[in-house]
Amino acid sequence: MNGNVAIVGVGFSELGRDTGRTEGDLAVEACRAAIADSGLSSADIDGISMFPYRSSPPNAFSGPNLSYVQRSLGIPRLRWWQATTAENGQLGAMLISISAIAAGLCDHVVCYRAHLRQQRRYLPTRTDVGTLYDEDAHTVPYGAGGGSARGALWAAKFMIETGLTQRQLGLVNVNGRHHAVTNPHAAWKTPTTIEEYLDSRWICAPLKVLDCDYPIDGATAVVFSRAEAVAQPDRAVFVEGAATGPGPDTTWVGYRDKSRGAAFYAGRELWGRTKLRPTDLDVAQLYDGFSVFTAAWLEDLEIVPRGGAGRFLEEQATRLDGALPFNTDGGQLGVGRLHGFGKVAEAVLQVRGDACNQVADVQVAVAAAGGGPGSTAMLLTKERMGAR
Amino acid sequence: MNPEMPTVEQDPFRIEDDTWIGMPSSVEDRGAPALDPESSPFWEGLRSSEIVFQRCTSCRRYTHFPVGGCQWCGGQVVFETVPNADMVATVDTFAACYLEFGPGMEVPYLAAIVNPACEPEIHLMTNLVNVRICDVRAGMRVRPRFVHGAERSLLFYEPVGTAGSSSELDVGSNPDETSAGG
Repeated sequence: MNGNVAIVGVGFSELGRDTGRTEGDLAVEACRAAIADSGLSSADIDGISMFPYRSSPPNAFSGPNLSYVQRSLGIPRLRWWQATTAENGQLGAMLISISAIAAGLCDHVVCYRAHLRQQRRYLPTRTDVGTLYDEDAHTVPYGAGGGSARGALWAAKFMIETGLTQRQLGLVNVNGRHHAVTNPHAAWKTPTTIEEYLDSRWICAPLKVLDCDYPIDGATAVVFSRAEAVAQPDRAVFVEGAATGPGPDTTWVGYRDKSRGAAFYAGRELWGRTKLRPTDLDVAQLYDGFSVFTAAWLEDLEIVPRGGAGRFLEEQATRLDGALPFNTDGGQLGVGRLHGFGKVAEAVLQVRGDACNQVADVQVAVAAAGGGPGSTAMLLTKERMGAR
Repeated sequence: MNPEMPTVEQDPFRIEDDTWIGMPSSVEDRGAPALDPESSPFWEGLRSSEIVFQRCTSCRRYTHFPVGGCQWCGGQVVFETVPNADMVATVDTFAACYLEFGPGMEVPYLAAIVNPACEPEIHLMTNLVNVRICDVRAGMRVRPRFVHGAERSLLFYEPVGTAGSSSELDVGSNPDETSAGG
């Protein structure tokens, strides 16, 4: 990396609680928008990347069939594609796109995430679960196979070890909803107060309903180009670095210190590969699928010291005029669940100066997605930094 | 093996709900683990109220969940029954679930990850029982309660010193004592 790959286009589909459309249709809309934004055409695109691979039978979580998207876009000359699952967090599909371009396998990759609103919390009947394998066999029978229960166990550990309070955790939602009010695409148009947060219902304590992102139908797409092949250099945003963990383990339950997950290791890798420092950041887009992961990213990216996330939130350092504005679009708690891809899209728009809640003169942004053992961070710059 | 519990820093973190979580009325509708060659000794152990973990023939540490080698050093593993005294555990983290995040769950329930004394770096998923939600603390000492259904058994934990039970470990002596739903 160090700027050898750039993000040259971003695009969204219609976003909504119930669009009545298929995830493929949404994906194609977002990809068309991103390709148009990049100044390229379908004929230039030679790579496609998505996550997670479509399950059979399809479910609301998994994305559309990749062939559906490729054929709908009329891409005539594909040199590389992949449809991975999410083991590096949601941005794994981006990480591998960057790697493919850097390895010379292709020049222009469109990378998307499209999904319908998940309407069921988790596998409600045994018939749906079927026989359990691997880690699932040891978690699902205890009602913690995924989703909020798993997130809550990580949240509790983070709060136990760092002293983050419930009130401080709630400020992640208040921050996101504050920014969402002025984002025309946001699902939520009303702000929240900390009192509303504290009065909201438990989902899986210590997580309240307002700690969980808002499920929507939607798609986000990003176009990556080899730096030398960028069509519109003045609009390109360079990938200065990208990193994932996960450090000592790859499981949600077995991971030893859940107050220092993959994000902790990703942070150290990220800063170890660049001349930039955390103090160079102008904006941060930090994963808020569960709000606790936002607080963890603040510490793991060394934006604040260990145990410092709560105070940082209390000081409103995260607002547009604060020391480090984060989740400036409203995040997944305000815009709705764009599942990590929205973090990169908003970071790119901020660096380009095209964001709805624009922060002045953004040169360096970080986008980070995921939690637990699956986390990826990406450092984006206006200028191409060059090798270290 | 050092019988001392690992020290987990005591914290005021707690969930303020005084609901009592007792034994589940049934475990029948929870998901069914595959009984493949690599995991069936563990599940069969639970049927007879024993914890059977893989143990490394090289570094001698226990490991869980069952895989093809030692997660600590990559060595060869064999299944061994954990001695009763080493089956106690401490609570690493916990959550009170008010919606069911899995089939067959009765809400609210306590999801928890515990560190067994036989290998404190093992992180074992369980449900805490026989405790009020607000009384659970990180670092709390807990001991196994085996729950036997018609088809499978699960491993729950309750606080050491729970009323009506001896503070000495007597689990495993009477597998039928904690039968549920069978």
